[in-house]
This record gives sequence, structure tokens and C-alpha cells, in this order.
Amino acid sequence: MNCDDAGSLLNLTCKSVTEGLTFLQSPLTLAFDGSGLGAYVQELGNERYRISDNANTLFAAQTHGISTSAKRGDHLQRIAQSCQVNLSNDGELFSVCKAEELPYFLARFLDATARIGQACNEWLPKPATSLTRFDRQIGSVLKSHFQQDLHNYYAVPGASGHNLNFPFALQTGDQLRLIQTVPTSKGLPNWEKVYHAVGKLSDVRNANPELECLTIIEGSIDLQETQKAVIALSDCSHVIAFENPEQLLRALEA
Amino acid sequence: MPKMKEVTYDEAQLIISEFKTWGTGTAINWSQKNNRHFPKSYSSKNLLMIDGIFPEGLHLELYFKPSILTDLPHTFSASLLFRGIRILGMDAGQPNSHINLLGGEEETYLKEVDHPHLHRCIPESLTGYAEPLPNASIEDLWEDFLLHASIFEAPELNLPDLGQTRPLL
Repeated sequence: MNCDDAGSLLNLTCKSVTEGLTFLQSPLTLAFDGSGLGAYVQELGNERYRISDNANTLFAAQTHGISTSAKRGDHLQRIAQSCQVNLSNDGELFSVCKAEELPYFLARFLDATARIGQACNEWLPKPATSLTRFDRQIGSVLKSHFQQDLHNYYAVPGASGHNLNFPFALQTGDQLRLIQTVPTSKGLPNWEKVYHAVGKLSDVRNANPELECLTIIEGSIDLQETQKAVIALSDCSHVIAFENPEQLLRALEA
Repeated sequence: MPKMKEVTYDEAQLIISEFKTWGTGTAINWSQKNNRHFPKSYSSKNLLMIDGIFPEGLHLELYFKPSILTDLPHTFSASLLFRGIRILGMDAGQPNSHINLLGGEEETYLKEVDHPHLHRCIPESLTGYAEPLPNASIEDLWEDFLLHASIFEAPELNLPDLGQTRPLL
């Protein structure tokens, strides 16, 4: 059984690359990219072959912006091993087999590549497809009262030169108010989002000192923690600790 | 990464066609990724400027992977990323084809597209569709990509120094 025979058995397209090295392509594609799944098959002599992806599968995932870590690498290695394929420390999928085993190991190899592509697909950076729970709640309150004056996703340049997005902005007459929301996590202030908001608001205020900025922070089960978050946020914006729609609208009208 | 607003096709097209200038110095700075079980590839993240502003979530990322197998070309890839989505991309240096399972209205629908090729968004999807590019040197492909991406004042392509001379394509 040679490489061409094995390719024909599995309906793969053979491309000769260099002497003793062939690339076999399947009609299958990577989950996140559309690249055809394939394998290099290298003759080692003595009726033995080495199958490899030249680390192209995981390189394709890197070009789509997945973040890599040793933990993720170990997870992918377990997937490869479950298909009787090795994943080297350099990200190369490979296996070595006898000539008569080539169709079997090619099938396992393509299976491993497809499964690894699927795992990487789950790790691709994904933008939010909808507003967060707290954004939706605040958006619905604001929309009910301000209608045409309300903008969603308002972008303003900061002193850093970056264009910064705010979930809401209220335009009343000549006055523009940028609104940042900060939800809780498990009933407590989400400090990652607090610091993100502080950084963003500071950047915007440094570029536009006259601009009115308002942060609506979701009330938490720990009043002291909420107060700490309000202190951090109040250096760069007005802050409303959200309790209910009526309280929010009263505060906005004040 | 904070959650960001979903990118629409119109928005992606607008970002691609906007006049963008290079915002990260006069040379491409490469750093090597080095996580266990991932390729030891090189990448370079570059900021772009539109009308004096660095728009949030807009980067040009370049990737370069030396071939592990001997006598094969190295792999080069460029990605215009907007809010984490590859709204325009160029891939070169691999033998496998891209298969267009998307783009029913497009000329290359259901066809195989070899390297080098250009990934671009179509109304049906922001990713997953590619068109062939003429075979050229990696430097010429870089210039082509800059034109497709409307990026100006970019430095000449300098690749990571591997201490060896192997053809790129």
C-alpha cells in the first residue's frame, strides 16, 4: 500500500510536494476557517510512513486570535491521543505507521485534526451577540423614558487616542451624557468591570473634561462592597447605585 | 478581553475601506509564542489609526511560522482584526486549499482556493470565505494586502530572523 493507494481508498486528493513527501487533502474543513483538512505523508523507507500537519492546524487557530496556554495545549494533546495521534511540544500533529496501516492512521489523523479544529473553534474570541443582562435591564428603563434621546453603543475618543464604546448615551438638547453600566457578579460588585469602567472613564474625561459621564452600578447584597465600588468610580463619573427603575429615573431627572 | 458589540457586515466593510495609517513605529516587531503543544510561531500586533484615532478593537496582526518539515516554505498570515473578528486576512505558504462552503452568490462558491488567498467578509458571513491571490513573493503579497486593507504608511515587511535562508514561497 503506497500513499496514492491510501489516498484513493479515503477519497483524498494527492499533491506531490517534494521527493518522498506528498500532501493529501480531504473534502473536510476546519471548523473555524474553511481550510481543507489534510496531511503530509513522508516516506521513511522500510515500508514506513510519517503523517504530519507541519503544525499548520494550530497555526491556523493562532491566526484567528485564539489565546494559547499550556493547559489548553494539554487538553488538545489528550484529544490527539484519543485518536492515536501525537501532538508535539511544537504543535505538530504526527503519527508513524507501517505501509499497510496507512489508510487507518490517515483516517485517525484527519479525525484528530477535525476534533482539534472543533475545540479551537470554541476558544475563538467572540463578541457579545446581545447586551448583557444588566445592560438590557437599564436599556429598557432608559428607552421607556427617553426614547429618541437614547443612543446605544456610543463611541468617544479618549486621551489615549483610542475610540471608546459606551453602552448608552443620552442626548438632551446640547447636553450629552455618557452612561457606563457595571453589573454585579453573584450578587457582589464585579471588580474587573469596575476597574475597566474607571480606566475607560478616566481616559475619556482626560480628553473631554467638560463631558458628563454617569455610571450605573447594580446594587449588590453587600452595601459596604457597593460603596467601595462607588468610591472608585466617583473619581471619574457621577454614580447611581441602581435599586429600581423609578429610583433610576428620579436620579436622572434630578 | 471585555465583551464587545457584534460586528455587522456594513461596519466591517466601512472599517476595511477607511483610510488607515500605521500607528506602531517604523518597523514590524515580532514576538515568539511559546506555549506547550502550540506552534512556536511569531506574531506581531500593530495598531492602526483612522483620522488621528486608534479605534477600539482594531488591530493588524501578522503571523509567521517556520516550517517543521524540511524543504517546505514557511507560513505567513496577516489578519485585520476588528473586535476580535478577522474581517480581512491573507494566508500564504501551505499546500492545502480553502473550500468555500459559504458565498452562494460568489464566483468561487464551493470551489477550492489554493494559497495564497485573501479572506474577506461577505453579506452571509464575516469569516469563512476566501478568494485566490496571484502567486507572488511574500513582500509583494504584503503590499497587496495593505492595498486591500486600505493601510498606508506601513513599514516594509521584515520577517523574524531565523538564522537560516529558506524560500518563503
